[in-house]
Amino acid sequence: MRVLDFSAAVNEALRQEMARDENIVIFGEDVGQFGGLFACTKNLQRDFGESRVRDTPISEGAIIGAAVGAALGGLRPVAELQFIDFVGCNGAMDQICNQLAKMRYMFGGSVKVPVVIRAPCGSRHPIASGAAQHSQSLEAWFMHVPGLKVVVPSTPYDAKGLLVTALRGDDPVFFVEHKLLYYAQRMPTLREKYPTLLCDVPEAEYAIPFGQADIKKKGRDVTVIATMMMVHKSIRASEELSKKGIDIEVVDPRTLIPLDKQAIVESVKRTGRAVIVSEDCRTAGVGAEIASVIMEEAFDYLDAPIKRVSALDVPIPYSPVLEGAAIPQEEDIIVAVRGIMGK
Amino acid sequence: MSGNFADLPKEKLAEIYEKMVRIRKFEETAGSLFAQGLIPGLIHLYIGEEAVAVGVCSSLARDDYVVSTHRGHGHCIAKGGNVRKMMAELLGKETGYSKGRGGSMHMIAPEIGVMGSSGIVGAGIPIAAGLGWATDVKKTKRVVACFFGDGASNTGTFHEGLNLSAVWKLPVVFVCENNLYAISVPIKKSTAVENVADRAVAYGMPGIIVDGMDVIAVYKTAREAVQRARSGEGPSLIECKTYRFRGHFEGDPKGGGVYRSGEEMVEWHKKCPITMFQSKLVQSKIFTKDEMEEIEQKCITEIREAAEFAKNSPYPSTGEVTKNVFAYEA
Amino acid sequence: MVVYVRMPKLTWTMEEGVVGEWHKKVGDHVQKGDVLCEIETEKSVDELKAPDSGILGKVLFQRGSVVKINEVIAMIAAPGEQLPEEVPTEIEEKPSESRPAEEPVKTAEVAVSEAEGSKVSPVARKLAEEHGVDLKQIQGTGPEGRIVKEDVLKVIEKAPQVKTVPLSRMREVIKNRLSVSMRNALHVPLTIEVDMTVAIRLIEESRSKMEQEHNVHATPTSVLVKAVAKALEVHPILNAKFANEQIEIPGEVNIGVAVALEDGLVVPVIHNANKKTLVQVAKEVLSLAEKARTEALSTEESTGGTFTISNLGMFGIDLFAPIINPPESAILGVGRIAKKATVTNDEIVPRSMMTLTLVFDHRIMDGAVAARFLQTLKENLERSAELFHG
Repeated sequence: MRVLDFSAAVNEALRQEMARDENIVIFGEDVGQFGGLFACTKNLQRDFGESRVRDTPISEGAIIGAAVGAALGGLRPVAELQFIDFVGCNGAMDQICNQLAKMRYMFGGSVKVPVVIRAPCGSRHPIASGAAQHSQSLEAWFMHVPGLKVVVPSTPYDAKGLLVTALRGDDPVFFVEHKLLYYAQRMPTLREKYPTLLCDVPEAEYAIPFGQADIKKKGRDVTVIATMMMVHKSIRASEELSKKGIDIEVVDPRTLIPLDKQAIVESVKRTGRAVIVSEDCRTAGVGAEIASVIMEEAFDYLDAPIKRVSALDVPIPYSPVLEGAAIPQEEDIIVAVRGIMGK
Repeated sequence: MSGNFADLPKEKLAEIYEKMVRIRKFEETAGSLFAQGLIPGLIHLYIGEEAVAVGVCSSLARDDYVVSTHRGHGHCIAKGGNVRKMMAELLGKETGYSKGRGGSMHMIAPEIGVMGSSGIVGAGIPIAAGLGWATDVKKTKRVVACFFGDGASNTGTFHEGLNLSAVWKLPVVFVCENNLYAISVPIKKSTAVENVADRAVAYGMPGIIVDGMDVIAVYKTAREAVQRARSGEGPSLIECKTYRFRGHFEGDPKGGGVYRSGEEMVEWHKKCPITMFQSKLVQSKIFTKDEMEEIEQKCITEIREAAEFAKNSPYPSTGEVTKNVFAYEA
Repeated sequence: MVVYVRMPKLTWTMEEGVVGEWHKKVGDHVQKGDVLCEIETEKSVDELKAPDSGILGKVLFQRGSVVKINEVIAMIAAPGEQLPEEVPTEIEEKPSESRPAEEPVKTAEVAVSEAEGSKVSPVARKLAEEHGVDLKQIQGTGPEGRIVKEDVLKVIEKAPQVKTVPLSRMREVIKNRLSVSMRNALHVPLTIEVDMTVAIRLIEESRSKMEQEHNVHATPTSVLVKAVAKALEVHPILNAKFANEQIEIPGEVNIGVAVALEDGLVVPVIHNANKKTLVQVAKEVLSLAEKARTEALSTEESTGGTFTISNLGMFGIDLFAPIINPPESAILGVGRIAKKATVTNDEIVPRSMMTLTLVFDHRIMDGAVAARFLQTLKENLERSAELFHG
């Protein structure tokens, strides 16, 4: 097995695509010389030059806005937001929601804006505390903007393949990277707890299409739809659940927009039960949308109410005991599944 | 502005020196606690920049406001913050300033005017403007000191915050702590002007450059700007040329040595604001070496006790994790 | 005071480090800030500096050792101070990993509803409806007493499988028409046996010639149609219909031949069967049967009948009494042709016998009339040579 860090897989995708397509450029804070806060753009400036991999000032509005302009001018920019929490800074939100996402549509299809925005999300609990402004999961915000694709890989293999698709496509993509995944396989605590973090990443080029979910674990009794880090927590929960005679199926959508509704619905039709596990906070989160889809398309097959496992509706607290209580853990998944099984 | 302190009373000089030492000891202890794995989050240490916070805050009254940043321990201590509550906050304990909910980057101490630090670069600038507006409306004559770094001077919020303060003539002193780097990116690669203070003209306010390693120079410059603000003449932009002796955050490889040259770091270390001030004070015979050491010991003891207090304090109860999302719980 | 030198946490991801080269050795005098040794992490090589001055009394890990963060790797003592043999346990500080017992429920359970009756899951409800299961009789085994799929399945498995089949259009039509017929006509059946030996022989003998010339061969059905048509010319009352309280005798003889479909019955009509040759009748019987089976009959082809023949002989039926096809006055039920022992000249001879049942409407005619028709028909069939010529 060729095991790569998530950040190394991202790096490899960027590297291979940049070698193939000279129009791909990267910019963001600390991405150039430093190689990115999480090493995702390591050595890319060295190998592709400063005109293609640039450090920017702290100017999120300019970063995204310039990416939009560069795309209109024929480049294929990869703009990095240092943390997804910064998406609200300095006009970035306007550039993403009002410009980037809408241009193709509001200009009648006469332009394409192939920008990939990469941003780390999520809590690093129990390894480190990012507190309220550096730990959020905001992917649901962008599911709600028509014109944006939203990608949420859970493994290095998925990350590389999905990023390649993002880079080759002509649509704006919000590529969300859970920061705990970046080095997970190098940290013994995480690696031992979640062996599913380790996977084979082929060196050859490959692309994973959007809108294609991946069943990370087949099962019989409950469909557990999980994203990013929650995929691994769900699989870990499944071991405990199997001792109670409950066999869950873990479905990883891999992309939220487009969402592989067919795979999700097919699974729920088989199991009759659904639990959605995502790290964002509960209200109007990822789970709310997926639950609605299941209700609409598989209502007659449901043998139990749909449950959501998500973070509490609180800003992420700094103190680890509180942070651990605020975000979803294996125990919460187990409680939810056992609750609808009645055992 | 020169760092001539002959005109300042001894008590003031002692206060200034003690605050810088307190900051230094606090930060060193925080760094060591981090190395022991006792601090769950990331910390951004103020070591090397003490003269800026102390110089500015020594010119403020107790109920004047301070808006701080991710590198905010220095601001809080300089404004009179309680080191036990600060240390407890770093460890995520219930007894911390933010009851463990905020951590290093989200400290607050409203009783001494420290109105919160933010991890979002530049976010504090318009907030400082707002505080200034409130004091105008309420006619309290309070002044706001707004700290931010060189990186923040390139944000959109810098432009909007300074412009608004100038147009409304708000009582804000904008203090740019130019330590030459925004994480790894040097100012030459990110900023279109040589000096951040050069931008003041775009906002119709005075822009002053000062040696950020000279605490008295900072103090005197700030004092003038505070006076301007309090008398209703509007905001000023002070740029302090300074340097952080450690990495951007604890854990920054080689203490920031990946993106800063060894020679540069050595050069700046020679300009330690505390050492320089201390030797000047001793040389001028205002203080003896023993008196200096006494102050240092006092700080060491204080910080050591603060660390013990923090370690022995309880963690927050998970039953209260949803408390304070709103004013009144549903 | 012994000073414990620990493996520092140098990066946020660091959980263990490798002790590098030692710059000082046991017994060396060290100043605070002196480099004691190097620490290797995956990112870089850093220096571990002495936290205090004294004598490096003990080195617990040599170069190359992998040590967890915060573990003691060396001890510094004041000159002359005694060092403990091992690191005292109370010195080992570990950050608290306590996670207090009470935890708010994150899958917020909505307050239990006070709905009347028990809850039923959608799929259980659907199954129950499909199989006519009464939910009120079921005790739910799901959470909160919900009736779930399994509960309904158990009931279904125990109950006899009643399958309900809705009426098709055709069934509906047949039901209605024949109900009317039974209600109004006075059905009387008459049975007669016919010797089909000669007819069968003639059918066989004429086969190849007919095939060659006309691409068709005679069948018992087409022979029957011709025979009946001829008999109806002689006994027109059997060709009549009862309408408006009157007996109407039509000018044409249109024989309907019942064709069984998978789930129903259709009666295509051979118009003017009496005027058509056997060949023509044979062809029409074939094509109409085909059209009937493919639902391709035109209106003309399926209406206007004056007399109906219904044959269940191919199903092995010996004899049966069909229901008159309203508004006709009679119907002929045809049984199978089978070799039977008969008596001719007091001798038992095997002959191919067929039983015909004529059901007539007693409002229109009497038994004798119907019987005479049957006699004629029998003669026509037993002397069927005439049918084959013209």
